[in-house]
Amino acid sequence: MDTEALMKILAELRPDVDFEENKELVDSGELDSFDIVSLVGELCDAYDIEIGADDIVPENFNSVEAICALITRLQED
Amino acid sequence: MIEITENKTDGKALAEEIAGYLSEKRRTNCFLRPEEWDGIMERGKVFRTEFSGGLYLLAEKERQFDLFYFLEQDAVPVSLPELQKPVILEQVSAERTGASPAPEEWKTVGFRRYLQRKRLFLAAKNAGKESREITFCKENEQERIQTLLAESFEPYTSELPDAETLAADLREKRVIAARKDGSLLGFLRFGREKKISVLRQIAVLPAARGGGIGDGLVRDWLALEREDVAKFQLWVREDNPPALRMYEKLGFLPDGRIAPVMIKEN
Repeated sequence: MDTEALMKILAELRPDVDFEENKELVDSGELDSFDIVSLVGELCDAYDIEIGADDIVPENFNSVEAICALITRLQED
Repeated sequence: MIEITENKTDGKALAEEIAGYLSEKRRTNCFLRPEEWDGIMERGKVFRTEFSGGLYLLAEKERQFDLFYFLEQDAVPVSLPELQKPVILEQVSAERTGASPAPEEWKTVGFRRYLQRKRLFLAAKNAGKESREITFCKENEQERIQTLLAESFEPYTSELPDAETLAADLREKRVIAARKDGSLLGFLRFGREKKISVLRQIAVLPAARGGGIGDGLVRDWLALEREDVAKFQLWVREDNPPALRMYEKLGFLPDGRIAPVMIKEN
């Protein structure tokens, strides 16, 4: 998948956050529920996926790797 | 006119219903964590109204109703019937996109602009190295603090602590004091959200304002917390230039989050 596009979405969403270093984006409090709701909308549009209510959980958004894994899984479904 | 009925489901069911709307990418101002709905229902009734293209939830508080909306992408806000208390609409938003629906759309259904806040942050590594002698407010100062809070902040969206919460904060040294000759001139109340230290309220007695008391309290907060957190965060009203200047001087920067607040009164 295109991680460059993902990094651009994340940087626009929260320019103040170091997405490459932080592996606890939700658990450290950097991303809050507003960020996650915003991100869900942007990811659905950018990757043509549907993120169901069951997938809107912190562990799917704690790191760039986790977000990539979620997108890849939903694209394969 | 739409009709409003009391919501009969419990917090868990309501949170699940909301998760479904979020998954549908409805436009919303509701970013509560699912577990927060139980607390809201303990404090007051929740009312609901469904209409073509959307749902409103109204959480009743002592002075107001807080409005949460869930609108399909093309749906427009609808008018509320007259209610006994003001309706408050807070839209936490990204500055680059703005609130959706925009405040202008809410004006067509009777809301007016009330205030707007922006969020600022400071990385702990940039919070200086100054060492400061910090004193905390005492439990016997609770009443004075509560009075100063009520006098210093607008009543609807300032998230003022109730007596029990403030008492716990005093016990656990989360209220920093500014004093002169033993007399309390101001205070700063803070808390933690995971690895972020959050300024809840800062207030200075009217007669003591303009003398650097607020600046000293913020410096105390930074010195106290910087070793234990990754970041400092606060919300500030955009119509408070002295506060904005003070935070900017200390190195705080906007993180792109804004929160316009609208109000509808009868």
